[in-house]
Amino acid sequence: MRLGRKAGATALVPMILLSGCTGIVKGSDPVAAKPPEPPVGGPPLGGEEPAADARVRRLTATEIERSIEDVFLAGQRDEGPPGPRVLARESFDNQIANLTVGADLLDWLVAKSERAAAKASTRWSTFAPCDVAAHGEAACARTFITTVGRRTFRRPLVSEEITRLTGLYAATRKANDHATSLATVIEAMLQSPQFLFRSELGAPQAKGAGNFVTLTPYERASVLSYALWQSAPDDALLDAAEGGELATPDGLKTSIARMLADPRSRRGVMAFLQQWLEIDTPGAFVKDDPAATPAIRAAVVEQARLVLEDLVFTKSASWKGLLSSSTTFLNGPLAAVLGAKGVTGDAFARTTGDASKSAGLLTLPAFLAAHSPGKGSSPIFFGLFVRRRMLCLEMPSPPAAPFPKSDPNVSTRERYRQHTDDPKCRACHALIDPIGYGFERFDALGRYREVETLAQGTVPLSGEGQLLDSDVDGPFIGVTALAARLGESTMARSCFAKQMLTYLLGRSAAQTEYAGDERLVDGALRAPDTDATSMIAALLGNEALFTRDARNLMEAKP
Amino acid sequence: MSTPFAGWSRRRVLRQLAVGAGAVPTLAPLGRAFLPNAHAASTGAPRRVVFIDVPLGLGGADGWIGSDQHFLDIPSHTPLHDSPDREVVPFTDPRVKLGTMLTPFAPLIGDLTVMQYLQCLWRENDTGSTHGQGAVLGLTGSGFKPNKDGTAQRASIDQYLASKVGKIVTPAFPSLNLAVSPTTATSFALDGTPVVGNQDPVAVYGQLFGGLANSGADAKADAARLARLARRKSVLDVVTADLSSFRKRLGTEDRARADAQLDAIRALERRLGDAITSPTAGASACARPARPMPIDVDDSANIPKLAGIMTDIVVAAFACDLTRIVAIQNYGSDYHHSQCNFDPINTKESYHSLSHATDAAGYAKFVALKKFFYGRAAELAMKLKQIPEAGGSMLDNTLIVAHAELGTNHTLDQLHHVTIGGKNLGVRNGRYMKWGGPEQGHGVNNLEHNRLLVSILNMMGLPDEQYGDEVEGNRGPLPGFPG
Repeated sequence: MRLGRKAGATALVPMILLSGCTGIVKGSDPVAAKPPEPPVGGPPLGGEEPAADARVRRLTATEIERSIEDVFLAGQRDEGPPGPRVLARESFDNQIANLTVGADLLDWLVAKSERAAAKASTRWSTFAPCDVAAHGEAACARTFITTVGRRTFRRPLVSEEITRLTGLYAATRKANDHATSLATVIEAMLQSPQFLFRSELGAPQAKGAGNFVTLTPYERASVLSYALWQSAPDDALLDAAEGGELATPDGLKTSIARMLADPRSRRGVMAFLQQWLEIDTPGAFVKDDPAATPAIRAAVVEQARLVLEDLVFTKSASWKGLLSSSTTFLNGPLAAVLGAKGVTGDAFARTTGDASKSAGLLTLPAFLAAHSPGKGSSPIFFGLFVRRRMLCLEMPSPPAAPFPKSDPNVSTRERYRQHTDDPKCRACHALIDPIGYGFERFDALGRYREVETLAQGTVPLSGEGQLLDSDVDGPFIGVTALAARLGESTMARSCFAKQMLTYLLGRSAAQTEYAGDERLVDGALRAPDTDATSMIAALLGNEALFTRDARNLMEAKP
Repeated sequence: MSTPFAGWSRRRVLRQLAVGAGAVPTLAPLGRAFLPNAHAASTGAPRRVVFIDVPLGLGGADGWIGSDQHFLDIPSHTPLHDSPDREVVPFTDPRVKLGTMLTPFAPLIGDLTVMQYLQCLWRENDTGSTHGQGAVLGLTGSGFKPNKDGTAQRASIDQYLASKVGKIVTPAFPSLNLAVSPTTATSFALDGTPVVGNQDPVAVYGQLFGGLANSGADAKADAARLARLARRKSVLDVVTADLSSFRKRLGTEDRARADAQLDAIRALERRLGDAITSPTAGASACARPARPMPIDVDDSANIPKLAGIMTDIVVAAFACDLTRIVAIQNYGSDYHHSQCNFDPINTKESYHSLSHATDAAGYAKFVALKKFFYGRAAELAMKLKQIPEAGGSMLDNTLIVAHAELGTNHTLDQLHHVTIGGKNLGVRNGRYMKWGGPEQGHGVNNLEHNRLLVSILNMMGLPDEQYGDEVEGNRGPLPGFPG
């Protein structure tokens, strides 16, 4: 192994020795870590202080679409192509670090804003009723701009913005009609950074006012609405911001409760859960199995949605409940693939599965398929999922080492045993693979099985596994037993809250150790058996969520 | 005659010269920097580079070069005074034989350079697997930012080149980033944000050839189109003003986000400006490829078709001089969901799993996959070779670099590269080159792959002596490459 050579900037971070792979690789201490060396060669990059929060967050493609639909299209879908994709592997699609504005996004946004503007401008008076005959076009345009601008920029426009947009209206009106000129204004609003980026700058404050700033009421409104609705605040929420209610604990609570009662809150909560479980990743359902048709892929994804909605919104299931439920939804074709009886037709019906083989989210075929290779079961993918995303244990990189030998006549467990035989691999794989073995009784489509089929013959699958590094360590048999343990684990429940927080903040809260994050997670866990929506509500209602590190900010000049 | 604008249309050059006195002082020294190579300067052709990602390591290295059974074993050293570990063997030497993976390059042997055993640093403490690290190291020569969710310490070389080349020749697209089924990013913006290549050929076609220009056939439609472009431009003016207010309170990293939007707007404005001032030029100036039909980019069965369309788009973009820097990301490597149910591989196993196969049948599929992606690089090279340019072919003025994020056996220290073309950029082709070898292990004698990046920067006319993290004793271009 290479040691002691200068490995650029990262050489300053303490090394993890493989022989001592505890599995716990903590982020560098944000306070103690020295700033990295200045880059050599390429363009210099600034602002590398690990603790400094980003202060503006670009909307995701989904958030852009939903905002435009809710503000301009009365909730109707825009028929245009989907936006450029971000690679949200092992994370969420709303992480700030991945969201920039490139040519692809801009071109997509220009086309989208032109379509929306063309539609909305023809019924401009429904947004801001105004009698042209009585007030004149210019005055009506101004009313339109201030009214619609407040929804689009998620705060009242400042005078400079009103001047700019009324100027654009007037200039366009010289060669175009009133509606087209308003359409031009809508396009300018939707392409503006004030729409495209959510501000988390806080109110301007004097230099040296402190290391922390708190978000303005309007910024809080955006935090809430994008977290729960994946969309812009509605008028009621903006009114609550304007009235100062979002700056008080009770006012926050009232708004959060109202928003959770709105069906749109399923968008945010479901996006969080689906992305956390990594369900429906592109390419995840290509299987070496004739049953893995596009229709069955759609069915397992739909089934997962129904189960999640049922658990979270109907039953308000606790963490333990999420991991132990045997309620499922099936339609005829899916039941046939999974070997379940008594369900026919294309419509999904609620059924109860075999409790001894059920573990709530962890036995959803969509989840199992997403973490399986084309065929069979992968101890590594499942083991890593449980460690990284259920226990928040980061793993170091695998070392350079020869691959385990592949042989179609050797069982998966036997093949992976090479990992734990080789001392180079053992340190980490002894922590990963035994968790994953627990999933071996499910095949790549999420069907229950008791034997593994080899090129010649079969071998029985025991499902025996082992958990290490957690607060619920020990041997177990099968996913149901593993899930029961994780259901009792404080570490896992805390990790679930950290995953939520990562989703809410747009940056990792799982491998970092900020005091503010810990306060938030503690708050979310205070109730002994909190359900998912209550946990989100607790995080959103906590003042610490609206506090930001002031370092990465140019202070306003007096 | 050679100028920094060699190869560009007269209209574009005139516009460039009209940018105002303020830009001139920076133009002059950079312009000189773009002309270090006498040959390229004398041909007057543009210089281009294409980075093609052919992910995953070489497994046991079988199928690469030498024979399908063994590493190339060259008994007679050809030591050179500047690099005693370097061995250079021309393809005319009977001991050098392209392995199965490289057979698509057989017709291009005179335009080919095969490199082995460059290394990059493996960071025990960095985030991500060796695949993930290799993917960021490959074109940035550096690692991830600590605790930063996948952002890189620095820009990838394609984005760096785009930022520099764009200042000289203002191509419509400073760079073109394309992808076929990506799962990890290999390009990173100036602020280190991952740049995910566009994988939708319909969208890419729309950007490049999407009819900003009038057809000249329908006067009424043309007038309406011009009016719409003028409105677009006035919208962008307002957005630009918004950006400058928005920017004021932002810290360094956030400013970079705002600046990225500004850069994208500037590029769009240039294209709009072209279309408005010269409304029919884009319609006939160069041959457009056929407009691609919508295609499911997530269906891996479509990969051969997608790869083919992307190749045609790159050829056309070069022929129209819409860009000079291209990066194509093929697939992803550190994820299990890169399935391969397409011809000629036709398996539902993942690319990654196959790279770990040690049985003959599994490894043969892996070799077929590497061959497939090298084949796309070869196809691009063949197409460029057929287009005459400046007394030679377009390939002579284009360096294609096929890179992978891993070396043999999941390592970062025994990398493999293929370059094609670039004769006028100074490449002496037709050679197999190796620096160090498999037995030497990391950090002994193998040279840093960052030096290849420096060679490429120099070939493109930039004077940089270092790119990425500096590793002791590894500065300057790669000895022996390009010439």
